[in-house]
Amino acid sequence: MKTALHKGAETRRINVVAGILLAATSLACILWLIPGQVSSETTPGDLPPTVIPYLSAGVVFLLAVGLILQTLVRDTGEELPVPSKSVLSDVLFASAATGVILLAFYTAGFLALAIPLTAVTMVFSGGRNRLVVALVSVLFPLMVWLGARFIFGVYLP
Amino acid sequence: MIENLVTGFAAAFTLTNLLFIAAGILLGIVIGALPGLGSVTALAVLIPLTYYMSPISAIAFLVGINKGGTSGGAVPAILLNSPGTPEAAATALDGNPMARRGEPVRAMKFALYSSVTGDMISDVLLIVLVVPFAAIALQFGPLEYTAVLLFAFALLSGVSGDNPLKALIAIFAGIFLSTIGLDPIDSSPRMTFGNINLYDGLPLTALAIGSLALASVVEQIFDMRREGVDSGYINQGARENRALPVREFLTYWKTILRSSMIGSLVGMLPGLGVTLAAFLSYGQAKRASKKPDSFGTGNPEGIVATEAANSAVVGSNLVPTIALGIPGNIAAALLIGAFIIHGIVPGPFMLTMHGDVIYALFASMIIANFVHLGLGRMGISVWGHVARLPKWAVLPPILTLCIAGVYLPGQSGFDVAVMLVFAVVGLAMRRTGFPIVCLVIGFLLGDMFETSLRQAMLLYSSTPGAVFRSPIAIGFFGLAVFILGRAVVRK
Repeated sequence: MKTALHKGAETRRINVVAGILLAATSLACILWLIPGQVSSETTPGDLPPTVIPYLSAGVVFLLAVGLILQTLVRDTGEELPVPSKSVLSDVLFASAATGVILLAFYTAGFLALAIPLTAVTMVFSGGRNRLVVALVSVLFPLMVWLGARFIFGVYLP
Repeated sequence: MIENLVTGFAAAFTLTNLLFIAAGILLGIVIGALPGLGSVTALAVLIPLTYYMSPISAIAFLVGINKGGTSGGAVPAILLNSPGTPEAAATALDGNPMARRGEPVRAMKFALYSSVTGDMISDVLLIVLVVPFAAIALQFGPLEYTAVLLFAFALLSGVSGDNPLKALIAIFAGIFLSTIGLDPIDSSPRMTFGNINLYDGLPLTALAIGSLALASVVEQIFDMRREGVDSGYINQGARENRALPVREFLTYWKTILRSSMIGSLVGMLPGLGVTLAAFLSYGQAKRASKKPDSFGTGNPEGIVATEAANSAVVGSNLVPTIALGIPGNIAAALLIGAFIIHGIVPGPFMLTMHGDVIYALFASMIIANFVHLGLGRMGISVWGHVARLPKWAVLPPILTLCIAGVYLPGQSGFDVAVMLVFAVVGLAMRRTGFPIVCLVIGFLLGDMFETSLRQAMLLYSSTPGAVFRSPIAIGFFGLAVFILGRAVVRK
């Protein structure tokens, strides 16, 4: 199984979009998050707590703009594993799955989440042997739950 | 030093410790042998288990995982031509052809012996060099620390990924994330939104497991979905030559020594990865060989060179970790996280304040090499079976293990949420070519960078010219500028 590498226009598209997103996020941090969430009062003999947040967000902003310009000006010869559409679909799918997993973890608990999660991901990644899927998806989470209970004395929710 | 080392051996040579070392090596080899996973994943997933151990047992366990994980990657590289770890990719070049011509066991023996020898040489170098390094580091003030950290960031950005700009963005994003929580000097809350879970900052373990281990697993699952299932099986040779006399192994002593030195040197410089050591050493062995054309066709020297070098990184990357508090690579960064969890702050004072633990760590590393040799030798035939397990059956249970592993220490659903969010961030970074190692190291060193930079700015704000009176700082600032300039020109 080999992953095809993508470069040229695909990489440029990914870099420009990533650069725009990063520049926008860091700008939001500089203009809204840091002024609203970090006290600018200075302790005598010290610098304000905003110095490093502003500095790091500012550097990210400048570098993100630099990334956009670099990508527009010339081809860096970078190779990326998947095309831009797959990046978007993978990240959106993973974000949605994260939401569902968190909701299930908080409401249904560890075992009720882990058993179907293991089974679904095994099938999703190409597992076709029903017996192995069933055994692993039931026994492994159960082992983890029992291990947490009896080795560490912790009840997983 | 000898006296301290003897005390360290006395503290480390207990049954409990030996069992933890053996368990660590075993788990490291098994996880390292699973294609796509490696010592970093093994460390990230298993660090939460150490919360319940004494500091010495915890560090010994993690050292075992690191050693086992690094050498375990050679198993699928040799048997399946599917390296368990990136650094083992060079091992596959000669290991797999050897396996295909009916010598899989001999190839794995070459890999194991070279790995243990390289590791031992690098551990000895660590013990000898760490005290002088720490003595120099004690001369460092905030300005020198800032300069060294900037140098480490520049080095990291120059060697991580294809684009130094992306690496620098990841490093500074990591530094920004490290500022969430209470201010280290006046304790005012920063970007916490009044959430008490954020007062201590983002949890390191959750961030590391999410972005390193979980993101890697999720990425592989997506790839398998897209490109089909990897059956994970090859045929071994029908008529096997299994024997490897020690005398035959020692005929490669020059390669072993050279590769161990290359690995040790690479390990000591922050940011240079194990993979670089393996390929540098492979290239050097090929150049030095009288039969360079035999490399890539099953020449045992290729396996010896790569395995000795990548294992030599394990010990020597603790030199900057212990002496300066700056991790040599991501595995060392995770070890720093474990040190902090156990109340040990890495840096030059570590040797004076926690000398007992450090010398016990050195002793554990030496002991671990012998345990590694014994376990590896016994398990060579078993590891082959582990490497043949199909990925679709191995990767999904790791999701469950990550959730439980992050929840266990603090019994906090918030930590699980952070891990899942950073799994998505890690996936996005992997897909778009931003090196995750830079984000994690930036996050880990952010606190130290902030404190030293703020102190330096205060100290020198009235007399900026005094900066030029520190040759160490000037040297490191100059090197940082040189490395960044060179990387920009090259790209």
